[in-house]
Amino acid sequence: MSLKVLPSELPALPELRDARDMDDPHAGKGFIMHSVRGFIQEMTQGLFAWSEGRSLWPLTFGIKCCAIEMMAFGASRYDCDRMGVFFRASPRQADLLIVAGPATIKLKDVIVRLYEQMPEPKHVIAFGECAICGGPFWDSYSVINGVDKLIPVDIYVPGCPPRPEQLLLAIMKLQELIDERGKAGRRGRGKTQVVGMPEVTREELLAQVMAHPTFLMGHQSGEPRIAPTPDELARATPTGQPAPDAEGRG
Amino acid sequence: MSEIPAGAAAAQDPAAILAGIATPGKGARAFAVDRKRIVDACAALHRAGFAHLCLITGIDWRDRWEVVYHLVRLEEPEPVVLRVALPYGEARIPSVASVWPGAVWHERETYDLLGIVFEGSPDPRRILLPQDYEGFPLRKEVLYGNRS
Repeated sequence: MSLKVLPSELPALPELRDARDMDDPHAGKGFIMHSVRGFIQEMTQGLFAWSEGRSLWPLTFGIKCCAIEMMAFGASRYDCDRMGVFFRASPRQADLLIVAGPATIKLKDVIVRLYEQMPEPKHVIAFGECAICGGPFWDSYSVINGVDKLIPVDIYVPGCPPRPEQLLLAIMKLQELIDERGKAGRRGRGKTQVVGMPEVTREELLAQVMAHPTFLMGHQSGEPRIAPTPDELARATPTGQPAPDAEGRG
Repeated sequence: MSEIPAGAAAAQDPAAILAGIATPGKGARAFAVDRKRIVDACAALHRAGFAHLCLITGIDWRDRWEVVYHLVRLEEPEPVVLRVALPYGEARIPSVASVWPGAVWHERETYDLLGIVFEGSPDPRRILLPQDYEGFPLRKEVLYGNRS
């Protein structure tokens, strides 16, 4: 039965909540109680932030080809385990959502529901161009241009796809962010960062990407190219003849 | 079908099977079929051993629709291609799900992306896009809508 439930038929989700917007449950319980709590919080939140940053457990959630890089990040060469990053199979055990691929309109409700199921404090990494702005699929009929239209994002990792090292760097940046927030007395999400381009804001990054869509596909020149020219083919093959295709034609 | 031996089926020429139903098109194994005869043509080919329907696809030629059927007899490498032209204002064609039950998925996909209605289909829903999606994204008129 449950297989027949379509995403559009799911019950409406509540508005996204933010922990820091919630009212203080201890407010109005007296000055001493408040002070003691504040003192304990002051003493421990640095420790909590430290432990939170060193045990970031991401959800095993790969959408498309960026997920391959995420898997490489988890495998022995890059070895995310040494940073306390263990992939979990349930959102209720995870506190980091790595969106590694494009969010389609059909996946929208799933992503929002997964995010809602994760316990606070939770963090989101937009991994790759698709998750940042739609990437090569920016004008597609089914892709949402950026996962931050659905859920709040802490770290943006540009690349198509990004290297696994960039995800390592993103984890380290996220640890720094969590430490900063702990020192500032506020845990949970806050300002966002673009990894690998610390001087670039998200708006500037988007402007660059949209001005040069071919940049996403790895072309160095600004001109969009679909197929190599005969000259390039001649240079590419040792005989000087254009390379035949797989079936031996021309 | 199974009552025809494989050797006899292989000997039968698709042009002979389709005589009176379809007219020859471009290529030795391509045929143009009127949309009222598409179920007859498919049923005749199915009886002659074309057990496998590779694909149904639709084309938007800007002045007409075309629905293309690729049928394969498993003993032969070459498919038989049936092309059905539809007027641009009237994207409707009978479903061949009575011949191949699996044709429903191909037809749903063609409806999903191009909006060609397969009449008499047991399952006319969209297959990939959300059921409440508006429009048909691979129609030429909307293909570059986001870029304009």
